[in-house]
Amino acid sequence: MKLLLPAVTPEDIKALRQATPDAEFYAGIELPEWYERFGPYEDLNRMSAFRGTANTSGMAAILRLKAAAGDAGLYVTLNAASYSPDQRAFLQDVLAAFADAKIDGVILGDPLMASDVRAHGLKAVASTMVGVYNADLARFCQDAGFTRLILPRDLSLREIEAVMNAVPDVEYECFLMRNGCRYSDSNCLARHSDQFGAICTFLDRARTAYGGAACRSFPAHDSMTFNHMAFSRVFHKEACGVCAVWDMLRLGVTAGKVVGRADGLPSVLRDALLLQRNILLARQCASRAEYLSRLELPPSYDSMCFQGCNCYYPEVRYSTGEDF
Amino acid sequence: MGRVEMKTQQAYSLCDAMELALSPSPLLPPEAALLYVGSYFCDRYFCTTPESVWDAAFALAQGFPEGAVLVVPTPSQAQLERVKEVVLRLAEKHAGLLREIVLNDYAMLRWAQEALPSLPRWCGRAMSKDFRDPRYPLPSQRIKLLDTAENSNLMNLQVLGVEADPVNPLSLPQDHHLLVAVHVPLAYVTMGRLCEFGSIGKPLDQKFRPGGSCSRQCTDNWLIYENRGFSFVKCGRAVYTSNKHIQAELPDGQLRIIHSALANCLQTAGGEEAKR
Repeated sequence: MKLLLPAVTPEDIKALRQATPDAEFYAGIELPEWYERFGPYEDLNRMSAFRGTANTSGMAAILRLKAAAGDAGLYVTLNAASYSPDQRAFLQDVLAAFADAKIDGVILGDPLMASDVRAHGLKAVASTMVGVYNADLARFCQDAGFTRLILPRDLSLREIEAVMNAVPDVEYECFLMRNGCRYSDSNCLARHSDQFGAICTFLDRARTAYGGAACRSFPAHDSMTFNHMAFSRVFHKEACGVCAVWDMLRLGVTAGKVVGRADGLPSVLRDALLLQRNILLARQCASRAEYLSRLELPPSYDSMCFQGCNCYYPEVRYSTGEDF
Repeated sequence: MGRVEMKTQQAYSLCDAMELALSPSPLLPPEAALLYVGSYFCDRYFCTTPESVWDAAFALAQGFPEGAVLVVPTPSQAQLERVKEVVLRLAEKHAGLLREIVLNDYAMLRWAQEALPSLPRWCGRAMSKDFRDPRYPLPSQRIKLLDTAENSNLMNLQVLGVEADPVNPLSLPQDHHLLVAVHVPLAYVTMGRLCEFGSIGKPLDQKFRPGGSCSRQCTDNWLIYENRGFSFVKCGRAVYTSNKHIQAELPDGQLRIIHSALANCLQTAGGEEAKR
Protein backbone atom coordinates (compact mmCIF):
# COMPACT_ATOMS: atom_id res chain seq x y z
CA MET A 1 0.00 0.00 0.00
CA LYS A 2 1.35 3.37 -1.04
CA LEU A 3 0.55 6.64 0.62
CA LEU A 4 -1.27 9.25 -1.43
CA LEU A 5 -0.28 12.65 -0.08
CA PRO A 6 -1.63 16.14 -0.71
CA ALA A 7 0.61 18.82 -2.18
CA VAL A 8 0.18 22.45 -3.10
CA THR A 9 3.72 23.45 -4.04
CA PRO A 10 6.75 21.70 -5.58
CA GLU A 11 8.49 22.23 -2.23
CA ASP A 12 5.77 20.16 -0.55
CA ILE A 13 6.42 17.31 -2.95
CA LYS A 14 10.20 17.51 -2.56
CA ALA A 15 9.98 17.37 1.22
CA LEU A 16 7.39 14.59 1.26
CA ARG A 17 9.22 12.57 -1.38
CA GLN A 18 12.44 12.72 0.56
CA ALA A 19 10.67 11.46 3.69
CA THR A 20 8.37 8.89 2.03
CA PRO A 21 9.98 7.69 -1.22
CA ASP A 22 7.09 5.36 -2.11
CA ALA A 23 4.37 7.99 -1.90
CA GLU A 24 2.16 9.31 -4.68
CA PHE A 25 0.80 12.84 -4.74
CA TYR A 26 -2.38 14.69 -5.56
CA ALA A 27 -3.05 18.36 -6.05
CA GLY A 28 -5.86 20.72 -6.87
CA ILE A 29 -5.75 23.48 -9.38
CA GLU A 30 -7.47 26.83 -9.68
CA LEU A 31 -7.87 28.59 -12.99
CA PRO A 32 -8.93 32.25 -12.95
CA GLU A 33 -10.53 31.83 -16.39
CA TRP A 34 -12.86 29.17 -14.93
CA TYR A 35 -14.30 31.62 -12.39
CA GLU A 36 -14.49 34.39 -14.98
CA ARG A 37 -16.62 32.19 -17.13
CA PHE A 38 -18.71 30.24 -14.63
CA GLY A 39 -18.83 32.45 -11.53
CA PRO A 40 -17.33 32.26 -8.06
CA TYR A 41 -19.53 29.47 -6.72
CA GLU A 42 -18.97 26.96 -9.50
CA ASP A 43 -16.27 24.72 -8.09
CA LEU A 44 -13.53 23.31 -10.27
CA ASN A 45 -12.78 20.80 -7.52
CA ARG A 46 -14.03 19.87 -4.06
CA MET A 47 -11.57 22.23 -2.37
CA SER A 48 -12.01 25.18 -4.73
CA ALA A 49 -13.53 27.30 -1.98
CA PHE A 50 -10.18 27.17 -0.18
CA ARG A 51 -8.56 28.83 -3.21
CA GLY A 52 -4.77 29.18 -2.98
CA THR A 53 -4.56 27.55 0.45
CA ALA A 54 -5.45 24.18 -1.06
CA ASN A 55 -4.80 24.66 -4.76
CA THR A 56 -1.96 25.42 -7.05
CA SER A 57 -2.70 28.16 -9.56
CA GLY A 58 -2.45 27.80 -13.33
CA MET A 59 -1.19 25.11 -15.68
CA ALA A 60 2.42 26.17 -15.34
CA ALA A 61 2.28 25.21 -11.69
CA ILE A 62 1.17 21.69 -12.61
CA LEU A 63 4.30 21.34 -14.74
CA ARG A 64 6.41 22.35 -11.74
CA LEU A 65 4.59 19.86 -9.51
CA LYS A 66 5.16 17.09 -12.02
CA ALA A 67 8.84 18.00 -12.29
CA ALA A 68 9.10 17.74 -8.50
CA ALA A 69 7.21 14.45 -8.42
CA GLY A 70 9.47 12.86 -11.03
CA ASP A 71 8.55 9.21 -11.40
CA ALA A 72 6.23 9.30 -8.36
CA GLY A 73 2.59 9.43 -9.35
CA LEU A 74 0.91 12.84 -9.58
CA TYR A 75 -2.87 13.07 -9.71
CA VAL A 76 -4.84 16.27 -10.18
CA THR A 77 -8.36 16.75 -8.86
CA LEU A 78 -11.29 17.78 -11.02
CA ASN A 79 -13.72 16.53 -8.45
CA ALA A 80 -16.55 18.98 -8.23
CA ALA A 81 -19.79 17.10 -7.71
CA SER A 82 -20.94 17.65 -11.29
CA TYR A 83 -20.15 19.57 -14.45
CA SER A 84 -22.50 20.98 -17.05
CA PRO A 85 -21.94 20.29 -20.77
CA ASP A 86 -20.34 23.72 -21.29
CA GLN A 87 -18.06 23.13 -18.30
CA ARG A 88 -17.08 19.72 -19.70
CA ALA A 89 -16.30 21.37 -23.02
CA PHE A 90 -14.14 23.95 -21.22
CA LEU A 91 -12.28 21.17 -19.43
CA GLN A 92 -11.20 19.45 -22.64
CA ASP A 93 -8.33 21.95 -23.05
CA VAL A 94 -7.44 21.49 -19.39
CA LEU A 95 -7.29 17.73 -19.83
CA ALA A 96 -5.14 18.15 -22.94
CA ALA A 97 -2.75 20.29 -20.92
CA PHE A 98 -2.71 17.65 -18.14
CA ALA A 99 -1.80 15.04 -20.75
CA ASP A 100 0.98 17.26 -22.11
CA ALA A 101 2.29 17.69 -18.55
CA LYS A 102 2.37 13.89 -18.27
CA ILE A 103 0.53 13.76 -14.98
CA ASP A 104 -0.59 10.27 -14.03
CA GLY A 105 -4.29 10.67 -13.63
CA VAL A 106 -7.27 12.86 -12.86
CA ILE A 107 -9.41 12.45 -9.76
CA LEU A 108 -13.00 12.98 -10.90
CA GLY A 109 -16.20 13.76 -9.05
CA ASP A 110 -18.54 13.32 -11.99
CA PRO A 111 -18.54 9.75 -13.33
CA LEU A 112 -19.73 10.95 -16.72
CA MET A 113 -16.33 12.59 -17.24
CA ALA A 114 -14.31 9.39 -17.06
CA SER A 115 -14.54 8.87 -20.80
CA ASP A 116 -13.23 12.42 -21.42
CA VAL A 117 -10.20 11.71 -19.26
CA ARG A 118 -9.54 8.37 -20.95
CA ALA A 119 -9.79 10.04 -24.34
CA HIS A 120 -6.80 12.17 -23.35
CA GLY A 121 -4.80 9.08 -22.41
CA LEU A 122 -5.02 9.77 -18.70
CA LYS A 123 -5.96 7.47 -15.84
CA ALA A 124 -9.43 8.17 -14.47
CA VAL A 125 -9.75 7.97 -10.67
CA ALA A 126 -13.17 8.07 -9.01
CA SER A 127 -13.10 10.60 -6.19
CA THR A 128 -14.93 10.11 -2.95
CA MET A 129 -17.31 12.64 -4.53
CA VAL A 130 -18.60 9.89 -6.82
CA GLY A 131 -19.87 7.98 -3.77
CA VAL A 132 -18.84 4.40 -4.50
CA TYR A 133 -20.92 2.92 -1.70
CA ASN A 134 -21.42 -0.58 -3.05
CA ALA A 135 -20.15 -3.16 -5.51
CA ASP A 136 -22.69 -2.23 -8.19
CA LEU A 137 -21.43 1.35 -8.12
CA ALA A 138 -17.84 0.08 -8.26
CA ARG A 139 -18.75 -2.00 -11.32
CA PHE A 140 -20.53 0.96 -12.90
CA CYS A 141 -17.42 3.07 -12.40
CA GLN A 142 -15.21 0.37 -13.85
CA ASP A 143 -17.46 0.19 -16.91
CA ALA A 144 -17.37 3.99 -17.17
CA GLY A 145 -13.58 3.84 -17.52
CA PHE A 146 -12.25 4.35 -14.00
CA THR A 147 -9.22 2.27 -13.06
CA ARG A 148 -8.89 3.47 -9.48
CA LEU A 149 -11.73 4.04 -7.04
CA ILE A 150 -11.42 6.14 -3.90
CA LEU A 151 -13.91 4.66 -1.49
CA PRO A 152 -15.90 7.06 0.70
CA ARG A 153 -14.71 7.56 4.25
CA ASP A 154 -18.06 6.39 5.57
CA LEU A 155 -17.59 2.75 4.63
CA SER A 156 -16.72 0.05 7.12
CA LEU A 157 -13.78 -2.30 6.56
CA ARG A 158 -16.24 -5.10 6.04
CA GLU A 159 -17.98 -3.14 3.28
CA ILE A 160 -14.64 -2.23 1.72
CA GLU A 161 -13.68 -5.89 1.65
CA ALA A 162 -16.99 -6.90 0.06
CA VAL A 163 -16.69 -4.23 -2.66
CA MET A 164 -13.08 -5.18 -3.39
CA ASN A 165 -13.93 -8.87 -3.61
CA ALA A 166 -16.89 -8.25 -5.90
CA VAL A 167 -15.00 -5.97 -8.30
CA PRO A 168 -11.36 -7.02 -8.07
CA ASP A 169 -9.85 -5.64 -11.29
CA VAL A 170 -9.49 -2.00 -10.28
CA GLU A 171 -7.25 -0.22 -7.79
CA TYR A 172 -8.75 0.90 -4.50
CA GLU A 173 -7.81 3.84 -2.38
CA CYS A 174 -9.06 4.32 1.19
CA PHE A 175 -9.01 7.17 3.64
CA LEU A 176 -6.22 6.85 6.15
CA MET A 177 -5.41 10.10 7.90
CA ARG A 178 -6.41 13.60 8.90
CA ASN A 179 -9.86 15.10 8.34
CA GLY A 180 -13.11 13.35 9.05
CA CYS A 181 -16.53 14.30 7.85
CA ARG A 182 -19.89 13.82 9.43
CA TYR A 183 -21.66 14.16 6.10
CA SER A 184 -21.20 12.31 2.81
CA ASP A 185 -18.86 14.12 0.42
CA SER A 186 -20.77 12.92 -2.60
CA ASN A 187 -24.01 14.54 -1.50
CA CYS A 188 -22.79 17.61 0.35
CA LEU A 189 -23.83 20.42 -1.94
CA ALA A 190 -23.35 23.56 0.11
CA ARG A 191 -20.28 25.78 0.20
CA HIS A 192 -17.24 24.04 1.65
CA SER A 193 -15.57 27.16 3.06
CA ASP A 194 -15.78 30.93 2.58
CA GLN A 195 -17.54 33.72 4.46
CA PHE A 196 -19.83 31.47 6.52
CA GLY A 197 -17.53 28.45 6.73
CA ALA A 198 -18.31 24.92 5.66
CA ILE A 199 -21.91 23.89 6.15
CA CYS A 200 -20.94 21.26 8.75
CA THR A 201 -19.21 23.73 11.05
CA PHE A 202 -21.94 26.29 10.42
CA LEU A 203 -24.50 23.75 11.65
CA ASP A 204 -22.32 22.77 14.61
CA ARG A 205 -22.35 26.40 15.75
CA ALA A 206 -26.06 26.88 15.19
CA ARG A 207 -28.73 27.32 17.79
CA THR A 208 -30.68 24.07 17.81
CA ALA A 209 -34.22 23.11 18.67
CA TYR A 210 -35.22 19.50 19.02
CA GLY A 211 -38.44 18.08 17.65
CA GLY A 212 -40.31 14.87 18.24
CA ALA A 213 -39.61 12.51 21.13
CA ALA A 214 -37.17 14.91 22.81
CA CYS A 215 -40.05 17.34 23.40
CA ARG A 216 -42.15 14.80 25.26
CA SER A 217 -39.99 13.36 28.01
CA PHE A 218 -36.90 14.17 30.04
CA PRO A 219 -35.12 10.85 29.30
CA ALA A 220 -35.70 11.22 25.55
CA HIS A 221 -34.44 14.81 25.68
CA ASP A 222 -31.43 13.72 27.70
CA SER A 223 -30.55 11.00 25.23
CA MET A 224 -31.06 13.26 22.19
CA THR A 225 -28.98 16.05 23.72
CA PHE A 226 -26.07 13.79 24.60
CA ASN A 227 -26.21 12.29 21.13
CA HIS A 228 -26.27 15.68 19.42
CA MET A 229 -23.44 17.01 21.56
CA ALA A 230 -21.36 13.97 20.67
CA PHE A 231 -22.16 14.37 16.98
CA SER A 232 -21.57 18.10 16.72
CA ARG A 233 -18.81 18.72 19.26
CA VAL A 234 -16.80 15.54 19.60
CA PHE A 235 -17.21 13.31 16.58
CA HIS A 236 -14.68 13.47 13.72
CA LYS A 237 -12.99 16.66 14.74
CA GLU A 238 -9.91 14.92 13.43
CA ALA A 239 -9.73 11.54 11.78
CA CYS A 240 -7.26 8.72 11.72
CA GLY A 241 -7.06 5.21 10.34
CA VAL A 242 -3.73 4.13 11.83
CA CYS A 243 -5.27 1.17 13.64
CA ALA A 244 -6.67 -0.15 10.33
CA VAL A 245 -3.35 -0.25 8.44
CA TRP A 246 -2.87 -3.99 9.00
CA ASP A 247 -6.37 -4.68 7.65
CA MET A 248 -5.80 -2.48 4.62
CA LEU A 249 -2.64 -4.36 3.75
CA ARG A 250 -4.51 -7.64 4.14
CA LEU A 251 -7.27 -6.41 1.83
CA GLY A 252 -4.79 -5.29 -0.83
CA VAL A 253 -5.71 -1.61 -0.80
CA THR A 254 -3.53 0.15 -3.40
CA ALA A 255 -3.24 3.53 -1.72
CA GLY A 256 -3.95 5.04 1.67
CA LYS A 257 -5.18 8.58 1.30
CA VAL A 258 -3.95 11.35 3.55
CA VAL A 259 -6.24 14.35 3.21
CA GLY A 260 -5.52 17.92 4.19
CA ARG A 261 -4.71 19.94 1.11
CA ALA A 262 -5.36 23.08 3.13
CA ASP A 263 -3.51 21.95 6.25
CA GLY A 264 0.08 22.82 5.39
CA LEU A 265 3.23 20.76 4.97
CA PRO A 266 4.39 20.22 8.59
CA SER A 267 1.30 18.34 9.71
CA VAL A 268 1.05 16.31 6.49
CA LEU A 269 4.73 15.40 6.71
CA ARG A 270 4.36 14.35 10.35
CA ASP A 271 1.42 12.10 9.50
CA ALA A 272 3.09 10.66 6.40
CA LEU A 273 6.12 9.62 8.42
CA LEU A 274 3.94 8.08 11.11
CA LEU A 275 1.97 6.11 8.54
CA GLN A 276 5.08 4.97 6.74
CA ARG A 277 6.51 3.56 9.96
CA ASN A 278 3.23 1.82 10.72
CA ILE A 279 2.94 0.34 7.22
CA LEU A 280 6.43 -1.14 7.60
CA LEU A 281 5.47 -2.50 11.01
CA ALA A 282 2.17 -3.95 9.79
CA ARG A 283 4.01 -5.89 7.09
CA GLN A 284 5.92 -7.66 9.85
CA CYS A 285 2.88 -8.50 11.96
CA ALA A 286 1.13 -11.83 11.67
CA SER A 287 -2.19 -10.64 13.05
CA ARG A 288 -4.30 -7.59 13.72
CA ALA A 289 -3.81 -8.14 17.44
CA GLU A 290 -0.04 -8.12 17.09
CA TYR A 291 -0.16 -4.95 14.99
CA LEU A 292 -2.44 -3.19 17.49
CA SER A 293 -0.09 -4.09 20.31
CA ARG A 294 2.96 -2.70 18.53
CA LEU A 295 1.73 0.23 16.39
CA GLU A 296 2.85 3.79 16.87
CA LEU A 297 -0.08 5.96 17.85
CA PRO A 298 -0.47 9.50 16.49
CA PRO A 299 1.13 12.40 18.41
CA SER A 300 -2.29 13.80 19.29
CA TYR A 301 -3.22 10.45 20.87
CA ASP A 302 -4.19 12.07 24.19
CA SER A 303 -6.79 14.33 22.63
CA MET A 304 -7.84 12.26 19.65
CA CYS A 305 -7.95 8.59 20.56
CA PHE A 306 -11.04 7.96 22.66
CA GLN A 307 -14.17 5.87 22.15
CA GLY A 308 -13.64 5.66 18.39
CA CYS A 309 -14.82 9.24 17.93
CA ASN A 310 -12.00 10.20 15.58
CA CYS A 311 -11.56 6.83 13.89
CA TYR A 312 -12.22 6.29 10.22
CA TYR A 313 -12.58 2.60 11.07
CA PRO A 314 -13.70 2.43 14.72
CA GLU A 315 -14.58 -1.24 14.41
CA VAL A 316 -10.90 -2.19 14.71
CA ARG A 317 -10.81 -1.16 18.39
CA TYR A 318 -14.50 -0.96 19.21
CA SER A 319 -16.22 -3.86 17.57
CA THR A 320 -19.99 -4.08 17.66
CA GLY A 321 -19.67 -7.83 17.29
CA GLU A 322 -20.73 -7.85 13.64
CA ASP A 323 -17.85 -5.92 12.12
CA PHE A 324 -15.54 -8.58 10.75
CA MET B 1 -38.82 10.90 -27.54
CA GLY B 2 -40.75 14.08 -28.42
CA ARG B 3 -40.66 17.39 -26.67
CA VAL B 4 -42.30 17.50 -23.28
CA GLU B 5 -45.77 18.98 -23.37
CA MET B 6 -47.20 18.85 -19.89
CA LYS B 7 -49.17 20.95 -17.52
CA THR B 8 -47.54 21.56 -14.19
CA GLN B 9 -48.25 18.43 -12.24
CA GLN B 10 -48.47 18.24 -8.46
CA ALA B 11 -47.25 15.31 -6.39
CA TYR B 12 -47.02 14.59 -2.69
CA SER B 13 -44.06 12.84 -1.08
CA LEU B 14 -44.18 10.77 2.07
CA CYS B 15 -40.57 9.78 1.56
CA ASP B 16 -38.26 9.42 4.56
CA ALA B 17 -41.18 10.29 6.83
CA MET B 18 -43.84 7.73 6.08
CA GLU B 19 -44.79 7.01 9.69
CA LEU B 20 -44.80 10.68 10.62
CA ALA B 21 -46.87 11.58 7.59
CA LEU B 22 -49.37 8.75 7.90
CA SER B 23 -50.16 9.26 11.56
CA PRO B 24 -52.71 10.21 12.69
CA SER B 25 -54.17 11.23 9.33
CA PRO B 26 -52.25 12.85 6.51
CA LEU B 27 -52.99 16.34 5.23
CA LEU B 28 -53.19 15.77 1.51
CA PRO B 29 -53.01 18.52 -1.06
CA PRO B 30 -56.21 18.03 -3.07
CA GLU B 31 -54.57 18.73 -6.43
CA ALA B 32 -51.79 16.11 -6.13
CA ALA B 33 -51.86 13.47 -8.86
CA LEU B 34 -49.13 11.17 -7.58
CA LEU B 35 -47.95 9.88 -4.22
CA TYR B 36 -44.23 9.30 -3.66
CA VAL B 37 -43.30 6.56 -1.19
CA GLY B 38 -39.97 5.17 -0.02
CA SER B 39 -36.74 6.96 0.82
CA TYR B 40 -34.32 9.24 -0.95
CA PHE B 41 -31.55 9.08 1.59
CA CYS B 42 -31.56 5.98 3.75
CA ASP B 43 -31.24 2.36 2.67
CA ARG B 44 -31.77 1.20 6.23
CA TYR B 45 -35.01 3.16 6.53
CA PHE B 46 -36.10 1.68 3.22
CA CYS B 47 -35.28 -1.89 4.19
CA THR B 48 -36.71 -1.78 7.71
CA THR B 49 -40.00 -0.10 6.89
CA PRO B 50 -42.69 -2.40 8.31
CA GLU B 51 -45.01 -4.02 5.82
CA SER B 52 -47.96 -2.32 7.52
CA VAL B 53 -46.45 1.08 6.73
CA TRP B 54 -45.84 0.19 3.07
CA ASP B 55 -49.42 -1.12 2.89
CA ALA B 56 -50.80 2.06 4.42
CA ALA B 57 -48.75 4.23 2.05
CA PHE B 58 -49.87 2.30 -1.03
CA ALA B 59 -53.44 2.29 0.24
CA LEU B 60 -53.26 6.05 0.43
CA ALA B 61 -51.93 6.13 -3.13
CA GLN B 62 -55.20 4.61 -4.31
CA GLY B 63 -56.76 8.01 -3.75
CA PHE B 64 -54.31 9.69 -6.13
CA PRO B 65 -55.39 9.81 -9.78
CA GLU B 66 -52.01 8.72 -11.16
CA GLY B 67 -51.07 6.29 -8.38
CA ALA B 68 -47.70 5.82 -6.68
CA VAL B 69 -44.03 6.44 -7.37
CA LEU B 70 -41.48 4.28 -5.54
CA VAL B 71 -38.33 6.09 -4.40
CA VAL B 72 -35.20 4.00 -3.85
CA PRO B 73 -32.14 5.27 -1.95
CA THR B 74 -28.51 4.49 -2.78
CA PRO B 75 -27.81 1.18 -1.04
CA SER B 76 -24.82 0.67 1.17
CA GLN B 77 -22.83 -2.46 0.41
CA ALA B 78 -24.40 -4.12 3.44
CA GLN B 79 -27.97 -3.47 2.23
CA LEU B 80 -27.43 -3.76 -1.53
CA GLU B 81 -29.21 -7.05 -2.15
CA ARG B 82 -31.87 -6.33 0.43
CA VAL B 83 -32.80 -3.03 -1.22
CA LYS B 84 -33.22 -4.85 -4.54
CA GLU B 85 -35.38 -7.51 -2.90
CA VAL B 86 -37.65 -4.87 -1.35
CA VAL B 87 -37.99 -3.04 -4.67
CA LEU B 88 -38.91 -6.23 -6.52
CA ARG B 89 -41.35 -7.28 -3.84
CA LEU B 90 -43.12 -3.91 -3.74
CA ALA B 91 -43.16 -3.65 -7.53
CA GLU B 92 -44.89 -7.00 -7.75
CA LYS B 93 -47.26 -6.51 -4.83
CA HIS B 94 -48.36 -3.03 -5.89
CA ALA B 95 -48.02 -3.41 -9.64
CA GLY B 96 -51.46 -1.95 -10.23
CA LEU B 97 -50.63 1.26 -8.42
CA LEU B 98 -46.98 1.79 -9.19
CA ARG B 99 -46.46 4.15 -12.12
CA GLU B 100 -42.79 5.14 -11.90
CA ILE B 101 -39.61 4.50 -9.96
CA VAL B 102 -37.02 7.01 -8.75
CA LEU B 103 -33.42 5.88 -8.38
CA ASN B 104 -30.74 7.89 -6.69
CA ASP B 105 -27.54 6.53 -8.21
CA TYR B 106 -26.31 5.31 -11.58
CA ALA B 107 -25.89 1.70 -10.54
CA MET B 108 -29.44 1.32 -9.25
CA LEU B 109 -30.67 3.08 -12.38
CA ARG B 110 -28.83 0.49 -14.46
CA TRP B 111 -30.18 -2.34 -12.31
CA ALA B 112 -33.78 -1.08 -12.54
CA GLN B 113 -33.49 -0.70 -16.30
CA GLU B 114 -32.75 -4.42 -16.50
CA ALA B 115 -34.88 -5.73 -13.63
CA LEU B 116 -37.99 -3.60 -14.16
CA PRO B 117 -37.75 -2.45 -17.77
CA SER B 118 -41.40 -1.45 -18.11
CA LEU B 119 -41.38 0.92 -15.12
CA PRO B 120 -40.42 4.48 -16.17
CA ARG B 121 -37.31 5.66 -14.31
CA TRP B 122 -36.29 9.01 -12.86
CA CYS B 123 -32.92 10.35 -11.74
CA GLY B 124 -33.70 11.17 -8.11
CA ARG B 125 -32.78 14.30 -6.22
CA ALA B 126 -29.58 12.71 -4.85
CA MET B 127 -28.26 12.47 -8.42
CA SER B 128 -28.66 16.19 -9.15
CA LYS B 129 -25.53 17.58 -7.60
CA ASP B 130 -25.87 21.27 -8.24
CA PHE B 131 -24.52 23.76 -5.75
CA ARG B 132 -27.30 24.95 -3.45
CA ASP B 133 -26.61 26.99 -0.38
CA PRO B 134 -29.08 29.54 0.95
CA ARG B 135 -26.21 31.44 2.53
CA TYR B 136 -24.99 32.37 -0.95
CA PRO B 137 -28.06 33.31 -3.02
CA LEU B 138 -27.62 33.31 -6.80
CA PRO B 139 -29.75 34.86 -9.55
CA SER B 140 -30.50 31.44 -11.00
CA GLN B 141 -29.82 27.74 -10.63
CA ARG B 142 -29.44 25.18 -13.40
CA ILE B 143 -29.85 21.42 -13.28
CA LYS B 144 -26.57 20.21 -14.76
CA LEU B 145 -27.69 16.61 -14.91
CA LEU B 146 -30.68 17.64 -17.01
CA ASP B 147 -28.43 19.63 -19.34
CA THR B 148 -26.15 16.60 -19.65
CA ALA B 149 -28.96 14.09 -20.10
CA GLU B 150 -30.51 16.29 -22.81
CA ASN B 151 -27.22 16.23 -24.71
CA SER B 152 -26.03 12.67 -24.20
CA ASN B 153 -27.35 9.23 -23.37
CA LEU B 154 -26.18 9.05 -19.72
CA MET B 155 -24.17 5.92 -20.53
CA ASN B 156 -27.15 4.20 -22.13
CA LEU B 157 -29.43 4.81 -19.17
CA GLN B 158 -32.88 5.87 -20.30
CA VAL B 159 -34.81 8.09 -17.94
CA LEU B 160 -38.12 9.85 -17.99
CA GLY B 161 -36.92 12.82 -16.01
CA VAL B 162 -34.63 14.44 -13.51
CA GLU B 163 -35.39 15.73 -10.03
CA ALA B 164 -33.87 18.81 -8.44
CA ASP B 165 -33.75 20.87 -5.24
CA PRO B 166 -33.42 24.48 -6.29
CA VAL B 167 -32.88 27.18 -3.69
CA ASN B 168 -32.55 29.86 -6.37
CA PRO B 169 -34.86 30.67 -9.31
CA LEU B 170 -34.74 27.66 -11.61
CA SER B 171 -33.25 28.07 -15.06
CA LEU B 172 -34.29 25.35 -17.51
CA PRO B 173 -33.10 24.81 -21.07
CA GLN B 174 -35.50 25.75 -23.86
CA ASP B 175 -37.37 22.80 -25.34
CA HIS B 176 -36.13 20.19 -22.90
CA HIS B 177 -37.29 16.69 -23.71
CA LEU B 178 -36.97 15.15 -20.28
CA LEU B 179 -39.40 15.82 -17.48
CA VAL B 180 -38.29 17.89 -14.51
CA ALA B 181 -39.48 17.48 -10.94
CA VAL B 182 -38.77 19.99 -8.20
CA HIS B 183 -38.91 19.38 -4.47
CA VAL B 184 -40.70 21.97 -2.31
CA PRO B 185 -40.85 23.49 0.26
CA LEU B 186 -37.71 21.79 1.57
CA ALA B 187 -34.56 21.49 -0.53
CA TYR B 188 -31.88 19.13 0.67
CA VAL B 189 -28.47 20.69 1.15
CA THR B 190 -26.34 17.89 2.56
CA MET B 191 -26.74 14.38 3.91
CA GLY B 192 -24.68 11.92 5.90
CA ARG B 193 -24.62 8.16 6.15
CA LEU B 194 -23.10 8.23 9.63
CA CYS B 195 -26.54 8.63 11.11
CA GLU B 196 -27.02 11.01 14.02
CA PHE B 197 -30.54 9.97 14.96
CA GLY B 198 -29.84 6.28 14.49
CA SER B 199 -27.23 6.58 17.23
CA ILE B 200 -29.55 7.94 19.92
CA GLY B 201 -29.32 5.69 22.94
CA LYS B 202 -26.18 3.88 21.84
CA PRO B 203 -22.99 4.00 23.90
CA LEU B 204 -20.50 6.58 22.64
CA ASP B 205 -18.11 4.00 21.21
CA GLN B 206 -20.88 2.53 19.05
CA LYS B 207 -22.34 5.78 17.71
CA PHE B 208 -22.21 7.10 14.12
CA ARG B 209 -21.05 3.90 12.45
CA PRO B 210 -21.44 3.31 8.73
CA GLY B 211 -24.21 0.80 8.31
CA GLY B 212 -24.90 0.74 12.03
CA SER B 213 -28.20 -0.78 13.04
CA CYS B 214 -30.93 1.51 14.32
CA SER B 215 -34.39 1.54 15.83
CA ARG B 216 -35.77 3.96 13.23
CA GLN B 217 -35.33 6.82 15.70
CA CYS B 218 -35.64 9.17 12.71
CA THR B 219 -39.37 8.54 12.66
CA ASP B 220 -39.75 10.58 15.84
CA ASN B 221 -36.76 12.92 16.10
CA TRP B 222 -35.58 15.94 14.16
CA LEU B 223 -33.44 19.01 14.63
CA ILE B 224 -33.92 22.62 13.69
CA TYR B 225 -30.84 24.82 13.26
CA GLU B 226 -30.71 28.63 13.33
CA ASN B 227 -27.51 30.51 12.67
CA ARG B 228 -26.98 34.09 11.51
CA GLY B 229 -30.49 34.32 10.11
CA PHE B 230 -30.38 31.04 8.22
CA SER B 231 -32.54 28.03 9.11
CA PHE B 232 -32.01 24.36 8.37
CA VAL B 233 -33.76 21.24 9.50
CA LYS B 234 -32.27 17.78 9.84
CA CYS B 235 -34.68 14.89 9.34
CA GLY B 236 -33.37 11.40 8.89
CA ARG B 237 -29.99 11.55 7.22
CA ALA B 238 -30.54 14.79 5.31
CA VAL B 239 -30.31 18.48 6.14
CA TYR B 240 -32.87 20.65 4.37
CA THR B 241 -33.50 24.33 3.89
CA SER B 242 -36.70 26.11 2.91
CA ASN B 243 -37.13 26.88 -0.78
CA LYS B 244 -40.66 28.22 -0.48
CA HIS B 245 -39.52 31.49 -1.98
CA ILE B 246 -38.75 29.96 -5.39
CA GLN B 247 -42.16 28.38 -5.83
CA ALA B 248 -43.80 31.47 -7.25
CA GLU B 249 -41.03 31.80 -9.84
CA LEU B 250 -41.09 28.23 -11.12
CA PRO B 251 -41.60 28.06 -14.87
CA ASP B 252 -45.19 27.28 -15.71
CA GLY B 253 -46.29 24.13 -17.46
CA GLN B 254 -43.02 22.24 -17.61
CA LEU B 255 -42.71 20.80 -14.16
CA ARG B 256 -43.77 18.26 -11.65
CA ILE B 257 -43.78 19.82 -8.21
CA ILE B 258 -43.22 17.36 -5.38
CA HIS B 259 -44.60 18.67 -2.10
CA SER B 260 -42.99 17.26 1.01
CA ALA B 261 -45.12 15.69 3.70
CA LEU B 262 -42.18 16.20 6.00
CA ALA B 263 -42.66 19.95 5.85
CA ASN B 264 -46.31 19.58 6.88
CA CYS B 265 -45.37 17.31 9.76
CA LEU B 266 -42.72 19.70 11.07
CA GLN B 267 -45.02 22.67 10.78
CA THR B 268 -47.66 20.87 12.79
CA ALA B 269 -45.38 19.40 15.41
CA GLY B 270 -43.13 22.36 16.17
CA GLY B 271 -40.07 21.94 18.34
CA GLU B 272 -38.66 22.63 21.72
CA GLU B 273 -35.67 24.85 21.95
CA ALA B 274 -32.64 23.06 23.28
CA LYS B 275 -31.01 24.40 26.38
CA ARG B 276 -27.54 25.59 25.47
